[in-house]
Amino acid sequence: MSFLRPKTHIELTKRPLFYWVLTQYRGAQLFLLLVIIASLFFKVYPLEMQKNIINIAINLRMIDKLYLYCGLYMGAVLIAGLMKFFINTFQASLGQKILIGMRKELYEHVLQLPLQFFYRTQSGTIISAMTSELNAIGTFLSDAMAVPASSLLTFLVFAGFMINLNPLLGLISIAIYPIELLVIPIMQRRYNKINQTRVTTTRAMANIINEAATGIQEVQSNASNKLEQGKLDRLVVRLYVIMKRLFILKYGIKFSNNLFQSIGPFLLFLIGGYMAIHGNFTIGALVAFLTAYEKVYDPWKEIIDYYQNYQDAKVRYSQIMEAFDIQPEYLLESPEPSTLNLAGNIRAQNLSYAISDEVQLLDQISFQLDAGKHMALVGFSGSGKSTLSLLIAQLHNYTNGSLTIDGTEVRKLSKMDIARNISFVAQHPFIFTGTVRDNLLYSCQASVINGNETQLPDQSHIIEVVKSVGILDDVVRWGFTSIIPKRKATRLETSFLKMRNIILGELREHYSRVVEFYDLNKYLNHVSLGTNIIFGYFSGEPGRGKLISNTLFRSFIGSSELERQLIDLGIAISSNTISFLQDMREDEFFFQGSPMEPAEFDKYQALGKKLEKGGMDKLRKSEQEAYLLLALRYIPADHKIYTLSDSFKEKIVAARRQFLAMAAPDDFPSIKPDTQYENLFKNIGELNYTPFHLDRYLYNRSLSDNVLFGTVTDLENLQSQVGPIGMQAFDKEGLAEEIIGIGLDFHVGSKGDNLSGGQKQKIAIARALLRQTPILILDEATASLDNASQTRIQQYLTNNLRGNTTVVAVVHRLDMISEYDHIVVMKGGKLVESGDYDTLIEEKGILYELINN
Amino acid sequence: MSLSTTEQAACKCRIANDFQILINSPVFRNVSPDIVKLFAYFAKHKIYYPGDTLIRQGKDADRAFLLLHGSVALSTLHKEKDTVIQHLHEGSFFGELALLADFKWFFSAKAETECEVLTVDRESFTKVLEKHPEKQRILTDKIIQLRVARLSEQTEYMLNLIPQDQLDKFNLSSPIIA
Repeated sequence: MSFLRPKTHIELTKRPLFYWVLTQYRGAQLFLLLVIIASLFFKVYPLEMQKNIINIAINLRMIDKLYLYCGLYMGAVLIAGLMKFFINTFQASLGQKILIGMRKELYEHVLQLPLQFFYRTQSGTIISAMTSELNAIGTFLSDAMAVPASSLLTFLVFAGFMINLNPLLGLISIAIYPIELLVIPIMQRRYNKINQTRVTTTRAMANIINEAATGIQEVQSNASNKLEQGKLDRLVVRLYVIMKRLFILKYGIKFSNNLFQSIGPFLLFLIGGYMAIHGNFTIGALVAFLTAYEKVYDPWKEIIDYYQNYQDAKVRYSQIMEAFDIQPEYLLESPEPSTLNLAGNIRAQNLSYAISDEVQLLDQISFQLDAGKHMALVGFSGSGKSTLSLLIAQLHNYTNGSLTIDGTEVRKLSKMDIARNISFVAQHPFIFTGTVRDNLLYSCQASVINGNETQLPDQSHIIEVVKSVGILDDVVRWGFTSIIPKRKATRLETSFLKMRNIILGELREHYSRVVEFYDLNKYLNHVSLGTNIIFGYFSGEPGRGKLISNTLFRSFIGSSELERQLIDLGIAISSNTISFLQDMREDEFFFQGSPMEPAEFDKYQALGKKLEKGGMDKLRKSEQEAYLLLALRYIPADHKIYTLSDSFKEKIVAARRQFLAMAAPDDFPSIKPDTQYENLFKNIGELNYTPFHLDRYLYNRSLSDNVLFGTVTDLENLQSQVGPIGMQAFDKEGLAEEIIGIGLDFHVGSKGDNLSGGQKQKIAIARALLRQTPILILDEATASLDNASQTRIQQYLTNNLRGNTTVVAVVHRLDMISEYDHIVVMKGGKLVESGDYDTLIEEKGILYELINN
Repeated sequence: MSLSTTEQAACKCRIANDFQILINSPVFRNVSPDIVKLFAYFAKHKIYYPGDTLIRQGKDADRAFLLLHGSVALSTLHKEKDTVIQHLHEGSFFGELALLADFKWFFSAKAETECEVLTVDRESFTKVLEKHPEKQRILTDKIIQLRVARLSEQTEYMLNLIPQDQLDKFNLSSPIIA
């Protein structure tokens, strides 16, 4: 619909608010105006009918006329209402459309702003400007054109109608409005001023909350809740004062408006009544007049509201535009579509960078680096090596001198050209919320969207890079700990069951040392007693506590002596715990060896006393159940407070077989059920039960649970010793890729909170390597990694990238720099030494001293 | 998976069993039964098979080990090679410093035969001593004494490996040192 695009381009942040309204959707707005004008007729028409009903139909007692006028009245009201409905929705959607364009352009602008802007602007300011403040403007935009037009016209039409009825009365009742026009703007100006402070205060609040949420680790570890609360409290109080004053003004305006309003009817009754008594005015006309006066008030109110909204929106708008009133330093895209492919010859000549007259960060740097060569930047912290790497990546704009790549000034390259040819890895790389794969492919994805690349790297390429940066083990671990959604698991089930077979078959001896397998004929010491009985799980209830409320399970144990025995076991566990932990009850730590939870201690103690006095019979059903619960939770390997006899374990295993015979007869056809249970499981419908059966995939359980088919008893040795043996075997069968694929889908948490610093760096390096750009810049990219990982990545750079990728690396581990072709030593923003490793060492200059410090 | 001996015995309470083991071990001998009982509650049994790693050099030290049976080799990385510094046998208590302080293991321990160990971690140790602060001193003393004893054993073992003619160079009165 936007056939009338603005021809002259006004800089985004300099545009007035109405620019957005006037330059877009003009056709639609014109159409809206016409509808509004048409609707006016149907607004006035009922008044005319009102007059006719009283003056003609009632006065002359014409019943058929009464029907006619009433029908016409109702019809007109209905049409006017429908038109109003249409106008409202149409203009609201128009406003939102304008807002879309506004938000889009603004966000595009913000993302291009120089880093310096983000260093000094708090993210809370940007967020609240882009979201809530823009939303408020959007509401105004809906009204921007239609409301003044429709209200003003309505106002004029009704005013005209009144003057037409009775010029004197009409003029008197309208004479009040101009007085209002003088009073209200004065109050409004005051309102605007306060409103401005409201916007800034709200932004400050957003910043404080944003900071606390981002730094929540600091806050909670320092217990600085009160400190942070205090920061907010001050603003909350300030906002309260501001809002109070705003409301006083707002309602003050409303009050004065209302006051003027009631003067109207007062005059009407006084003068109109007088005239009617004297027969100069018909009653019908007076009623119509009063209705018209009321109707004239609505558009007037709308105009006043509009005026207030406009002022409010203007304040917000100007503050948003002020905040972002900076121009990007670089073009996002070159004017002509370019397919610039750089070779990677970097040359700096007297390169300087200053952030102000006093602060000179880089001073007269010159070097030359041929394509495919590797350059190390070394020096003390604060020497400017990091800044230099940022300049080459065009993240800062140099102030003097020349910096060229393949002879073109870096400053002249567009962002697209840079991204196409340079990969940059920051010291503290940013990890986006999403999966590991999303993060690895972030740069490639951007490149595809920008049209520089046609497709994303395939899985084998990703795995290769993941291996080279040394994060493969982590990815595999993430894969194993994932719970795979059923839909996906069904597809891969056979692969996982194959892995299970390998572990339970050829690798059984290795794995049996670190895993307790789900062995049908053995009591399992590492799972709860409840799980030992059902030897599986009911889906949708992984929690142990819920087993007790499962009807099927309850009727199973209830139909034998087992229930009573389990209650006795619960009583024994409870009394052991109470006597042993009596003095330690307030410390949760001591409860690790008991299925009882610290909070339950008092309850069980009271129960114990009751039991002592009255015996089992005195216990209510729910109290017996509490003991049953304790028994079902009991895990021999964890709960040292009690030891189960072998005969009891045998009893449980026997009960398990009975349970399986009933609940999963198809899985275990060889087990014959006892007669006592026979009717138990009939007609109970969907069980939602999954047994630990060798051929069953366990949905809602982690991949590790599924493949290991048991409980891990020694995680450390599983990961360090047995795991790699398993991976080798899986790899041989071509199954490893599945696990890696699942590991790549691991969710890194908000901003990568589930990852360690080292993992983040590895992912960031992998992200850059996947792009395969001719230039790679590493700004202390391996600083958070352990020595082995650093060495591994350095070896990859040397072996795979030397000769084909220009590398500029800020290096802090000096034992690695012998791998570089060219070394630049920096100090205080100046280049103090440069050359190849051997020469610099031979010269015994500053580098030599740094190394042999 | 074979069950440990203590679980095979149809004993009503593993705590009682471990209590007997601990109270007879050098660290807890003469320590009041109330405290040893708590350690027995926290102590964990573990089986290791030949070649398994009990302690990995460089990892966080968080628990001490009492070797119930089997033998364990202690080794340390020397010039990137794992070098055995001592062999431990049934009844040995090692890794005891982990009960007192947080550090990275400065040696590794590997099972030479099938081994069963009882472990106590620092967190439990600290928690128990918080309940009985008056016993802190005596236990700390014992741990350090044990450590000193094993250090001298180790030194003895290492020095015994050095041939006599080499060893003479280390003699205090030898001109090289002097």
